[in-house]
Formats: sequence, structure tokens, C-alpha cells
Amino acid sequence: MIALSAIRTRPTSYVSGLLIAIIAIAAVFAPLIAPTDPYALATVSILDGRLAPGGEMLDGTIAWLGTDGAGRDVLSAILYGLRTSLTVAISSAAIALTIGLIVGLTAAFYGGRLDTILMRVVDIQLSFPAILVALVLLALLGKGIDKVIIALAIVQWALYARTVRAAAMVERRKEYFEAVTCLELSNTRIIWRHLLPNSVSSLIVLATLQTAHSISIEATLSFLGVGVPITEPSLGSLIANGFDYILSGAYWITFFPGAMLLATVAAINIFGDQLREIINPRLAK
Amino acid sequence: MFAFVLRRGMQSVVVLFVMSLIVFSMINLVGDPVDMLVNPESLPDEIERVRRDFGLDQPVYVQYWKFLTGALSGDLGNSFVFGRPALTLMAERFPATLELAICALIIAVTIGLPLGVYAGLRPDGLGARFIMGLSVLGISIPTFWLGLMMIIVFSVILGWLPVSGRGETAVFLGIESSMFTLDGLKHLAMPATNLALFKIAMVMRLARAGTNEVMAQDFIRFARAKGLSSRRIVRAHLMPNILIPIVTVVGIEFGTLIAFATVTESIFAWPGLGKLVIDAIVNLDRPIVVAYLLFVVALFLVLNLVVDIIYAVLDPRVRLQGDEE
Amino acid sequence: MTKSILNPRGFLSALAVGFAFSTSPLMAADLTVALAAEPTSMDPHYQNLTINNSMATQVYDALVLQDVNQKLIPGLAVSWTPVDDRTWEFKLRPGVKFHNGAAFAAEDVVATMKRAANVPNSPSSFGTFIKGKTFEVVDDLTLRVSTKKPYPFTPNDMSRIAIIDSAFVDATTEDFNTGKASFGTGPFTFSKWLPGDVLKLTRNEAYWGKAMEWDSVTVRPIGDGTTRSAALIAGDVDFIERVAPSDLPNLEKRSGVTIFKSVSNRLLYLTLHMTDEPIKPYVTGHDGKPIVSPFRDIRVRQAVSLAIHRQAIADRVMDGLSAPAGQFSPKGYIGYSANLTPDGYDPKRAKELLAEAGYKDGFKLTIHGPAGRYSNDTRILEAIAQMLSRIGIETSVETMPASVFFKRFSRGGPNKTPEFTVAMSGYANGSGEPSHPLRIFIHTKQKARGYGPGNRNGYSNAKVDKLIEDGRASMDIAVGEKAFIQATDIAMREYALVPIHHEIATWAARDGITYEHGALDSTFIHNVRAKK
Repeated sequence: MIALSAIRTRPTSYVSGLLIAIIAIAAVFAPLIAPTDPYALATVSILDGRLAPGGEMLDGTIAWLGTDGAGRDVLSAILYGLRTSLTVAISSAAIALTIGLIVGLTAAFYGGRLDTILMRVVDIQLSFPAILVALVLLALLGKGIDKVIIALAIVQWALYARTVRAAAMVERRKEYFEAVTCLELSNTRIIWRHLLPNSVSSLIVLATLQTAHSISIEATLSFLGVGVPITEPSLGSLIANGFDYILSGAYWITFFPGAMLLATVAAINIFGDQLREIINPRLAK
Repeated sequence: MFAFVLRRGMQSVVVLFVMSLIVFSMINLVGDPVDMLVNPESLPDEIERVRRDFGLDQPVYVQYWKFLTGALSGDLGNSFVFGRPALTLMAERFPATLELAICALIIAVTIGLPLGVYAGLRPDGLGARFIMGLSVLGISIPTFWLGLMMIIVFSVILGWLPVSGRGETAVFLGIESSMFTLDGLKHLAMPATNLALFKIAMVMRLARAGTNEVMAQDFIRFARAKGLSSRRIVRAHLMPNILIPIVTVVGIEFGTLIAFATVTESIFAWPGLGKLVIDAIVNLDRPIVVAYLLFVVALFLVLNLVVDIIYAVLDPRVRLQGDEE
Repeated sequence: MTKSILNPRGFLSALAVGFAFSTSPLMAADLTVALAAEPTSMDPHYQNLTINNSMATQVYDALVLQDVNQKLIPGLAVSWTPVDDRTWEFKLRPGVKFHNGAAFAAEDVVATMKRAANVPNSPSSFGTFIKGKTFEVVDDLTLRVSTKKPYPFTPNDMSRIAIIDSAFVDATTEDFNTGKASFGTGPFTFSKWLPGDVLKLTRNEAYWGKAMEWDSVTVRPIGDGTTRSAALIAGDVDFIERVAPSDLPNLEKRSGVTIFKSVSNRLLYLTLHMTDEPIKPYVTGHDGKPIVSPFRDIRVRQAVSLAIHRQAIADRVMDGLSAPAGQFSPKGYIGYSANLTPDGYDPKRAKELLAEAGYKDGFKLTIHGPAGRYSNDTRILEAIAQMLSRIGIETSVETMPASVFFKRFSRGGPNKTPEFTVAMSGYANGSGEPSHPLRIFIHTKQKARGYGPGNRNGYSNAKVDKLIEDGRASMDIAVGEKAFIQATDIAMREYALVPIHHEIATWAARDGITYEHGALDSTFIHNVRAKK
């Protein structure tokens, strides 16, 4: 509640929050808002390919933002792609964060050998290039949104674990922590009430960065030919595919999804920053 | 300290062993290199011949054992595609990647740190907002897209910089690098900036977040109350405190710069490790992929160790675990 | 700037201005070439790989050379004739010297064959072209090559082997990479190779053929198509291969750039699984339950072919860089049958055929293909999926890296059988012999005899098999060609595979350069000439 009222007093967070809300609604209700279904192959035709913004498709629909190379209405593709990109980014961030939180806090709290082992696992994980993990996973599992989510979660969890542990370690060394442990509170309670809240500010910074980052990674995977299926493009794959046409002047295929991506990621980032300042008690005046 | 380093060294060997096991078995699950190598017009026994020559007809554990015994004597196997030792191939490509990563890191820190601290000191100023806006942009643009955009703007439209490849190299202090020639620097500019962009934003944000946090703490207020100059506060009190997370991240990021330069290298046709390994993944050149991954793991282990040591030096509150109890 | 980016015309004019700035007079003496791929070795016998072979032709010659349409022309041999059913006689070119000054003679050929068949750790050996042949030196300039059975394609095989000086018969692959052993008889001499970065060649002043204009040639690998085009526009390189289709309209409009195009022998095709067993998970009823492959029925295969709008793919996906295909060979190329034309687009008839075959309501299908292997491969798959969906075959697409694709394509199914029901792949004849695609893709699979290694859908027709085998046993090439064309006609009319298109190969150069090109899509630098 305190956080909510704080949001109201900060216009930047208000605006970015509103933007996120609009984007989220647009993504959730894409099938209702979008003029066409860009994933229904029987109605998408390459004969409609690369229409300039405002062009009329064969079935009479106006493509306000043009069409892509496969003849999908770019506006509809953006709305659906947004859905895919957000699903991928949020789900993978949530999974990675959960794993990272558990591992990081456990390591920091128990310390000793467990900490050493866990941190070595983190080291191993961090040294895996994301592209190889994705390639191996997609080779084993096939293409698909769920596989990309798994791949991105595996790529990211270690970073969360490391950050949580680093923050918690600093807390652990502080004088008050000794006082807390002396109170003989249960382990869960100590972790939950003392280690966790103090990791939150760095976690939020990381989570916002990572949400943005995972959208980029997903786009990069598409660029390298793995990732989501070509017939169901995400924002990232729309940009990647559209780039091939930019030298020939069909800027809209890559520009509009790119703009949408930037807007989304920027909104999330700004909101995350604001939230961090609100939550971090030391910054609250 | 010595005991700590020794212990970590031993742990690292175990990690490398486990990694080699994981990587070796994982890479053996994907595809079949023979399909990528043998020309389809070949005689039917050619596939079996190649499989035999490369030892691919053996069970995976036999192949692994061969690899392991080879590795212990410093031989990580021959590339399937090039027929040359994987380590030699990597050694040939490493300098190019290293100079790219170093340049990117220099760019990231020299731009990111001052801007981040500036933004952190005056969090509500117009400049700070502008800087943070830039950082948001830097984080949000996919590297490959930016790389291609840079090519269009700086090479195609403006014609200032060469599109791809590594420029002339020169030898300076016994090191051969393209950093020492004008042509080389011209070739470096775009890929290094491209690779650095995400890191600039990252350093900027970390520096700003750290500055914000530290400046709000009591000891800074005390320092202010004592009448210390802003410059002195920044240098003596702010910097040591914000450097910890930045050093951690930059340390790890240096590893990622080397390990993950793959995309930038393939866009700018930079003849480095990343390009070698991307090609190796595409062609299923398993020995190169395995050797590269083990190299990356070793690199990270070393970097992490160094980061932990620096950590301990910068913040005495964090003791090295090896010294405990 | 924003405005010009948003406005395509403004953007293009900005590019044009940029180009005007970066244009500098062409240095006729040195040529810089950007290729899409790079050789894996400079050892001409290390790996039978297209890019290796085309680079080898710069430094080395074979006994027989292929022109740009793979017709055989004299090389180090001036003529070749069959002396009996199993023996060919080659008359060698007199007065030819290797780059190191050694004279070329028949002994060099024998030594070369010995080495080329046995390069250690070769990932794809040239032994294919050498094994089963006996080489006999008649005199310094006469050589006889005999086989155990009648074999009309010995000259074709000899066009694949780069001849080296017999002094280097025991040289290692590394010796060729570093230049220690790389002395051929070709138009250029080897200067330096830095893998991943640059290959440098110098003119061979003593070349037996027409001398090259370029004092030196620099070859750079640039894998990304857009980067390659940009390198040409920016003036970094003088000549590029494989212009990305989407960059082509822009390059064509540009002054100062010349584009070269020709229909290549690279065919993209679909294979349709046409046996009852095994039942695969990629074709199901609308309830999602796997069904026996509908493509056993020729009507369903024909329906697929008629549903594909080849011209639309050529115009919209390939930007004009493909020619609709109805057989392996493009017009004017060896093995071309004048009796076959590409199927037209007829979705109505396709639907009727489906109904006649008992699939009035269609079915569900997953089609597979490689990503990044062929020009626009994933986009073509997507377009095909659209087109099949329109006739009621509810199609989804699964693409994967080529390294994964080919394993599954060949033996990803149960008992190492081919995995996919419908897959798209490509083929280009590297040998220049007309029975090649028939032996590999059309003949019934008989592994031990080397027939049908690429026959992944179970097509089998005894009559076709016999035509192929008889043709391959006739020393009279004309008789053979007739049989091959007949076999092609039958197989294509039975949709042994569904041809989609031949890619149109492209090259682009700065003005002042011409390029001689044909059905081969690989690049031969000796064909890059200064315009007179």
C-alpha cells in the first residue's frame, strides 16, 4: 500500500507503469485487438508480402503498419509477437529468479562447503555460452516457445544466484545480523525476513536488466536460426527477419517491431528503477 | 591467502573434469558430424571410413577416455573440419578476440563509470535523466541489430569505417595486434563499440545504483558534515564502496566479452574465437566446441578467483572462505 | 536522419550519396574478393567440399577441366578417348611447369592419385573418384586409366582431382596450408593463407592458359550476406558472390555496381514419404492421431506440387532469384529433359485430387527443413506451409540447424530410417555427370552397390532402376544420356520428389569488372576479368 501511494507521487513511474499496463493488456488481448491472425497460415499469403504501411491486402484489410516478407500484417504480428516475447522473457526470468534466489540464499546462509559447491556450479553455468545451451536444448527438444523459455532460464539463473549471494553475504557480515541470529529465530524466518529483503534492491536491478536482456537474447537466437518457430514470430524474430529487407527500403518490417521492443523494454527498465528506489528503505527520505 | 588459492585451484580441476564430462556427452547427443563432412556424392563406404578415422564408431565412453588421456598430455584433439589441433586453431584466433574484448572493456569502463557516477550524484538532474535514458536504450537494442545498423550508417552511408575483418597488425612490445595501426583501429572501432554497448549501459547503471546507495548512507553525511570536499568524498568514500559490485560484474563481463563475442564476430567477420566456435557449432566440429568450452570454463574459473581476491582486498569485511575456521 | 530512414526513397538516396563518397578508382592490378564461405584447407586433396574445390582450381589444374556449365574441357590433358570398353587414354599437355619450376608429366598424375585417395583424417576423401581405377603410364605425355567394368565417367572423375608435383606425394596437409608444398600449375600461385581472415594469391606468370589481369588477389570470407553487400558498396572489396536476395534491388539500382546472374544447378525440392511403414508422427488426422502417409498416393503428391505457387515464391520470397523447376537440371544443363515443365499453380485441381484420394477434409502435417543452409530456406518453407494450408493440409513448419537436420533427415527415425514425412532439401550436381542425381536420389536404395544413398522417401521403380544402370554401363555417352532422360521423365511424373526451384546464382562487382558465369554457383576467381 505504501508502495502504491509512492507510485502515485512519482510521475515517471506512473507513466511507465501505465505504459506497461497498456502493453500487457495489448499482449493479453492480442487475438481480440489484432486485425488479422498472423499465425493462421491458411489466411496469410506471401502475395501480400512487403506491403508498405497503409497498403491494402488481398482480402481488403488495410495493413496500417505494412506487411512483412511472409505477408503478415505487421501490426497484428507485433501484437502477437509481443505476447510471445513477453511470455518468454517473463517466464524465463521468473524461473531463473526462483532458482537463483533459492540457490543464492541457501549458499549465503549455510556457507561452508555447501556454499562452495553451489558457487562452483554457478561458475560452471556462467561459463556456458547461451547460444550453445540453446542449440543443444533445441536439438534435443525441437523448436518452440517452451524450449526457448527453458534455455533462457538455464542461461540466467546463475546470475541471480550470484547476485543474491553477494548481497546476502554483505548483509551477513553486518553487525545486526549477529544480533538476529542470537535471537534464535528459525532459519526460514531469518532468510525470509532478513537476508531476502536486503537482496531485493540488487535483484530488481538485475531482473529488469535481465528481462530486457532475455528479449534481446531471444531475438539473437532467432537471428542465428534457432528460437521460436518461423511461422509464429516473436518481436525478436520479426526484427531479425525484417532486417534483411532494410537495404531494399522496406524499413517497416524491422522498424515498428523494433520500436515496440524498445518501448516495452524501456518501460520495464524505467519502472524497475523507480520501484527500486521506492522499495529500498535506505533511499526513502 | 595461499591456502585459499591452492584450494580453489584444486576445486577448479574438479570443475574442469565435470565440465568436460558434461560437454562431451552433451555434444555427442547433437547431430552427426559425418553428415556435415562427407560429400553426399561419395562412395557408400566413405561415411564408415570417416567415422572410423575420427573414432566416432567407438562408444561415447571410449571416445571420452581417449579425449581425457589426450587432454592430460595437453592434446585436446584434432578439428574434424580443419584436421589441425584444436588448441593450435584456438591459439591462432585468440589474439583477435582478446584485443576486441580489451577494447570493448576499455570503452565500457571509460564511458560507463564517469557517466554512471555523475548520474548517481545528481539523480534528479536533467543530465542524469538523459544518461539513464541512454543506458536504457543501450540495454534494449539487440547487439546484432545495432551491429547491422552501425554498418549501414558508418560504412554504407558515411563511408567512414570498413565493414568487416581485422585490419593490419603491427608488433609493439612483442605483441602483435591490430591495436597498433591506424587501419587496425579503424577495423576495431565498430565491432568493439558494438560489443561494448551493453557493457557501457551495465557499468553505468551499476555505478549509478551504487553511488545512489552509498551517498544516502550515514558515513557520507558525516563526511559532508566534517566539511570534506565533494571531490574527496567521491574519491575516498564513494569509489571504494561502489567499486565492489562493479569489479565483480566487470570481471565476469570480461569473460563474457571473450566468450560471448560470437555474435559480434560473425556480423563483422572478425577472425576471432567466437567466429571459430560458431562455425564449429554449425559444422559440428566437436573437438573445437569441446576445447573452446573447456577454455571458457577455465577462463571463468580464473576470473572468478581474481575477482574474489580483489573483493577481499577492497572490502576487508568479506573474508576469503579458504581462511575461515 | 530519422526522416530519411523512415522514407525508403530518402534512405536510398542517402545510401547513394554515401557510395559516391566512398568510390575510389579501381586498382586494376589488385583484386579483392569477398566469398560467403572459406576453404577448410589449402590442401586440394583434403576434403571434397565445394569451396575447397573452387579455391583449388585457382592454384591447381586437373587433367580435365569443367567450364561454367560443367561441360568438360581440356586441362592438363589435351584429349581423352576410350580405347576399349574399360580403358580411357589421356594425352597430356606438353611444356607445362609447376609453380616451383618442375616439369609436368604422367608420373605426376600417378603420384597425385596415390596421395589424393589416402589423405590422413580427410573428412571427405577424393578416393571416391580414384578407387577402382588403374593408372598406367604409356609415356611422359600419355596415360591410360582403366576400370573393372565399363565406366563412361572416368573423364568426369578426373576433372575432380587437382594435380600436384610428384615431389610432394608425401607432403602433409599442413605443408599445403603453409605453402611449403602448394605448387600447382594453375593461373595463380599461393602466397599466404590466414584461416578465417585472408587468402592471398599472386599471378602465375608462366601459366599455360590465358594469363590473368590481376597481379594479386585477396580473398576474404564474409559470411553474412548484408555485410558482404555493404563491403562492396563501401568499396572494401571489388567483387562478391551470393548477393542476398533482399539486397539485390538496392544493388541493381546503384550506379557503379554490376550484377551477374545465372540459373544455377542448385535445386530445392521436397521429399514426400511414400511407403506404408513406418507410420510417422508428422502426419496426423485432425484429431492428432498419426495416420499412414497419404503421400503413398500419387494424387496426393501431385496435389502438393500443384498447390505450390512456384512463381510467387520466385517473385515474393526470392526477389526474382529463383526459376521454377520441374526436374533436377535447369535448361541447357546436362541431363535436362525437354519433355518436362514445372507444374503450374492450380489449387482447385489440387483440392480435387485430395478429395479423389479420400482426403476431402485434408490432414495435419509438419514439414521439416534446415535453417540457413539454402538461400531463404526457412521463408520458402513458410510459404509452402501457407500454400498447403490453403488446400486443406493444415501445415506447420519445423526448422533446425543443418547439422541437426541432416542427421534426422537421413536416419533420425526408428532403426536409423529417415525421420521426416515431408522435408525440404537441396541438391547441386558437383560432378557434371548426368546420372549423378538419378543414382543418388531416384534409384531404389541399395546401399552396398552405392545406389540410392539419398533416396529417403522409399521411391522405387524397377524400370527406372534398369534405365539408370544400363545408362551407366554404356561407354557411348549419347546412349547413356537418352536412358537418363527417360528415367528422369518417369520419376518426375511419379513425383519421386517435388522440385521447387533452381536458385539463381548472383555475383556483384564494381564497374570495370566482368565475370563469366553459368550453372555453377561457386565462384571461380580466374573468371573474374577486367573489362576491356
